[in-house]
Amino acid sequence: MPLEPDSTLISSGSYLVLSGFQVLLGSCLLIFSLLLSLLLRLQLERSMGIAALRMVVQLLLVGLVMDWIFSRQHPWLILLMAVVMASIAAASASSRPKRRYPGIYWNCLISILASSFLVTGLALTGIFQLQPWFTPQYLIPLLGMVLGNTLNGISLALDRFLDDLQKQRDLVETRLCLGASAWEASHDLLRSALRTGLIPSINSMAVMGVVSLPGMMTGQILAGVNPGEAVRYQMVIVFMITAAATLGTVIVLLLAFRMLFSARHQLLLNRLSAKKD
Amino acid sequence: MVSYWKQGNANEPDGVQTMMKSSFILETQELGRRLENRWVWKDLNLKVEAGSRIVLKGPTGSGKTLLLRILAGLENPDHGKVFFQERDQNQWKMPEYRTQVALLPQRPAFQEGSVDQNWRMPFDFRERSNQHFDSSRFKPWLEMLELSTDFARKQTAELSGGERQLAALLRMLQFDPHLLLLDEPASALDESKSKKMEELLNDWQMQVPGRTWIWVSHDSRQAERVGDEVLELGAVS
Repeated sequence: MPLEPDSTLISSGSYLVLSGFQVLLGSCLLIFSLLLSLLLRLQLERSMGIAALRMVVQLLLVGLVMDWIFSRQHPWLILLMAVVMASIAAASASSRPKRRYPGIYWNCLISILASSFLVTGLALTGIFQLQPWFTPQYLIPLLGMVLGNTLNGISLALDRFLDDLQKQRDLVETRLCLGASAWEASHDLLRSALRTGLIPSINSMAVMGVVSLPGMMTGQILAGVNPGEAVRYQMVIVFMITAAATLGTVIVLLLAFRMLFSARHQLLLNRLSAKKD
Repeated sequence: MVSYWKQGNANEPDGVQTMMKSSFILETQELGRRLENRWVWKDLNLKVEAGSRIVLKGPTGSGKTLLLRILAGLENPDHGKVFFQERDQNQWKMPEYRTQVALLPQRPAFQEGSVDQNWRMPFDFRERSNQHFDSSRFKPWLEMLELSTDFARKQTAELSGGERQLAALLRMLQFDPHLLLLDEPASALDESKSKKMEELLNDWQMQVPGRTWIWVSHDSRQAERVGDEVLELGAVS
């Protein structure tokens, strides 16, 4: 049954608006972390401070941008923001694996764009049945959640595949020498990389609501939505996330496979390099 | 620098040109390979007659393994061409090519499981879908190598370095490739096992005319035993 877009998020309107002073008060909680870092000589104070500052600045900026975009309701502008989000997700996904190859960023971008946009698009038009489909209040947060999880799956799977290719080079080439095609020589590596990419999504699905209360659901409840309605939203989101992560991971692995094997069934390990820290 | 001569006639470095009387199973034309900014070797014009037993020699770093890898199609040369059975290597479908030009790497690898499972593993490949595993082929080989019949049941993780080499050799030999590329196949074997392996390969080669090998060896006495011709790769200036 399609969810009624106008019946949820801000329907109850009974949520507490935080003032700047309250946010400042919240930042004091960080003092515990800073004190512990000092006491235990973790030397994390500086990086913690910088990270906190970055978070504040980034969120303020994103808040401003979203305010602006929400007020315009222009499809191209919303699409532009979606593409920018996907590009940043691709940069993050491609920088995480310990090894890299030329074109890794583009492979991540293609797989993220294809999977996240397809799944979010299908959900917005087919499940949420929004009019117009690009309503930013839905599109942007939903896409954001899908992107975050897809990039996790993609980077974990890529990391595993590239690492396995390097470590199991002898096995892959032995199979090639025995008459295997590139696919036959590496399909078990691809399969285990796919599993590695998908297991976090499956695990998190399995404990959802028992061990963890998902962020979006919590957010909706805080915003005054009745928990039963928030739960329905959350379920759809989890289905979207899992579908996009699966699709994105499969695509990125196929693209990496094409980059690291030649049409002549050769393993091109010389394209692989260790990440510079 | 590349030298080539027939065993027992070491003063004939131009032997490669004198061999042009019969069919060649493998031929290279002006083959060259660079590593970084230098040529490891270049202008390698090799003509290998079917049935030849060639020993490939050369100091460490002279590119022996690289040459075998290029002949097996695992890497590309930077210059020149390889022809197998008078057909450009680029025109072969590589899985099919590698069923006939078989490289036994110095460090053969195995999947988890028993030796027997690893011997059967290549039959899963599409290129070999019309072939069937025949355990009876291994029995005389195991006897020749003085390995017990339990050898096939051993887990590959428990094999010694020498046993790994033998298991990998038999895995490859069961397919009777036309050209065997052997990269120091006896490097982890003691002398007696090494000689038994040579005998086995000799027998295998004699069974069918035309079976050919290129064998990398650092052991000069072994080189005399297993090679009729020697190809020596030297340092390139």
